[in-house]
Amino acid sequence: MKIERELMRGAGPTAVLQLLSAREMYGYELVEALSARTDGVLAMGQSTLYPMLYNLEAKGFIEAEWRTADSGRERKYYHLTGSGRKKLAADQESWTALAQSLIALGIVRGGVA
Amino acid sequence: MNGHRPFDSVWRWSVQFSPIVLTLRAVGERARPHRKAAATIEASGLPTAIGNHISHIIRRTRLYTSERQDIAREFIAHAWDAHDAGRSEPEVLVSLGDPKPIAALLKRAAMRKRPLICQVRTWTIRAALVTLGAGALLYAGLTVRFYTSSPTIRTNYLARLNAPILAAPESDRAWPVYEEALVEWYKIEAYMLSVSAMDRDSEDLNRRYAGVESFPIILKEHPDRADTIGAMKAYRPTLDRIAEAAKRPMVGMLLSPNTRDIQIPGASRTLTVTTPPTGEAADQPSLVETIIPHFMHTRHIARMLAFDCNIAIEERDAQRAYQDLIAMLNLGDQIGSEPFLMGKLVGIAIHSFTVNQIYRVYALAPALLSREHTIGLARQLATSSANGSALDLDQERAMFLDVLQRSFTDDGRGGGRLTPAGVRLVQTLTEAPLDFGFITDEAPWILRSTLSAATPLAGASVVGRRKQLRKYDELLAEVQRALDEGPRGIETFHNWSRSNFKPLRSGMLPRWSPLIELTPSYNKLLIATMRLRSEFDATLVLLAADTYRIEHDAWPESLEQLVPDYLSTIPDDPFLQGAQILYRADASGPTIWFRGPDADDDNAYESDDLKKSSVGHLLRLRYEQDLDDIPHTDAVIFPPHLD
Repeated sequence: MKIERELMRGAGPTAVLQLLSAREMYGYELVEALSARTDGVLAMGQSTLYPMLYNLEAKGFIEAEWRTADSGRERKYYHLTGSGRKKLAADQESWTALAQSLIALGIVRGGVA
Repeated sequence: MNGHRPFDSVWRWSVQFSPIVLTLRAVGERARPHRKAAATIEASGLPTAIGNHISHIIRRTRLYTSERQDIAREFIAHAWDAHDAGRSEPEVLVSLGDPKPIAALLKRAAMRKRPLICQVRTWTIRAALVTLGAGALLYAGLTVRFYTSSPTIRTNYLARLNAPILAAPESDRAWPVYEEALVEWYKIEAYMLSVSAMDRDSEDLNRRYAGVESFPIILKEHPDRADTIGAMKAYRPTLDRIAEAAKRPMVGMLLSPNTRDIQIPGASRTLTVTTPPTGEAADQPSLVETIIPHFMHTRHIARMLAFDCNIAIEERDAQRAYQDLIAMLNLGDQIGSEPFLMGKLVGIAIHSFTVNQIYRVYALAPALLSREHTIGLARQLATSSANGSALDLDQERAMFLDVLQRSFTDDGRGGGRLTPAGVRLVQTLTEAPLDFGFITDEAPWILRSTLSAATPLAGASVVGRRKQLRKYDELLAEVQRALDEGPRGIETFHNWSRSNFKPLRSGMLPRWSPLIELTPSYNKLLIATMRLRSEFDATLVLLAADTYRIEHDAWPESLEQLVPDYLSTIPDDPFLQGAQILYRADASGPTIWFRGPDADDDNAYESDDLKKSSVGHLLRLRYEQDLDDIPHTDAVIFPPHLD
């Protein structure tokens, strides 16, 4: 299922921050994880991911570091910063409130406790 | 240390990061910003299609070299990861997306990542470019507006000034007589020159040339003296006709931009006269460019009359001398009523010349003139004095209005802006470009050329016609006020001009062009007018005193003796308000003087350096110059310093 661009624009950065809150990841890894963990709902290509990563970096929510992987290939790893964690916490609250409202309206089925 | 000396690395570092190397590198990178990223992509070993696609995206971002390099490395890593995960080439290409939107997104995001200083620089450059662009656009608009503007010439001021001349009967116009007389004299002069024994190599002009043009006095030892005097005496019937013509109301030569030269048989010189103007006002040049050759011709006539008067003095011919003096005064009146300030100044010059000729008569032949002569001269002087005080400022204004209508656009309500025609007019009249104040002909051509491109800007800075006329009217009102005020008006006008008019000349932009270029020197007019008034007053005193002498066989001891029978009032001293002209008489004759620049009576003392100064010069010292050391000298009018 494909979601609308505007929704993606709102949810995408939070999703990326959420993934990076567990561990540092590189670009392709993030693409794969987003696709796998959301059943393709939040799947995004390079054209969406990298501008998003650069924006988060510009805002100081994530930082990047070039490292050489075991395969000998260079990769750029992203990790969350302190302000990124705060941002993620704030986003989580917002999304939770939004989801509850959508459930209350019957737009979203099921329940989030 | 591994064999490295610390200075090696310091040296290498200092070279590597020296400002010159950094600048050269920056310039090189700026010139080819994609080079590094392209090399990295090529070296990555990615399939050509993917590499090209990434390269294409990155090229479109137009980011800095280092930013492109960073994105290239990340996209290469991503592509290899996809490849390792088993993605096909088309899948990778699809994942990369359309180059145009992704490049835009990448660019925007990467720019946000830049340090604040880079962002400031970027925005500063953008702001500068926008400002420059807007400025260029504005200037282009200004240039088009300027070069497409043109004046509307509505009034034919030349025709208006010529109308009275054209309407006057021949008997009211003196010029036909003057023209005939001058042609006749130039023929005589040509003959005299052909038979002259003059000393062509002499440094003294009078020895080289015995004509009246150089000077109305011929040295006694000049070889041509007798011949020249004989020729002038033979010319007297013509001088009589000139004297009659000088009584006519006007000179009557048409004002015109067109002239013709009358050839004089046997003479190298020609006589230039105007011919009727042709075409409409728009086809004619401005009034300022009108040719007025008769001003020069009438000065020549005045010299001939003075020359004849000098002959009469030598021959003790009182009637002849008197007649010449009256003719000179009439001529001064006639030319003084001609248009424009120039006419006034020439009239004043002829009158001043005449007054000095009267002093010469008294100095060389003290008892020559009869009672009738002195009374007749006094009467004529009083008339000329009244004429000399009047100034027709309307003619001056007409000249300026004509310049305005030929220089500015006309909105029909008195307003308008400078046009290229106005710039050309100023250039023609002043032989200077309407340009920035500091540009002179000596300036390098490149500077001049660059700034001449700025003419529309200079033109736009020029104050509109309504304001220019208002300022000009203000100036004329001050001139009139100063004329009415008397000698002190010189100072009043000088101060007004210094604080209200001279500042208009300051600044780099010619804001008050053409007003500042075309406004004549009215302070010169004021000085000349006040000088002449004082000279007339002194001469009236001399003539009154002489009339008294003739009647009483003795000079009056004081001026009080002359009032009211010989003089209506005792004239003022122009150097001190409320004071009167000074007079004394002894066996050698009368002495008439003013107090001079220090406004003190020094008993007719004249300092050596100012002895031969004109009253005009002394008035200037008194009223226009803030001197620390005021010269102690009087202005002695009579007896004169004869050449």
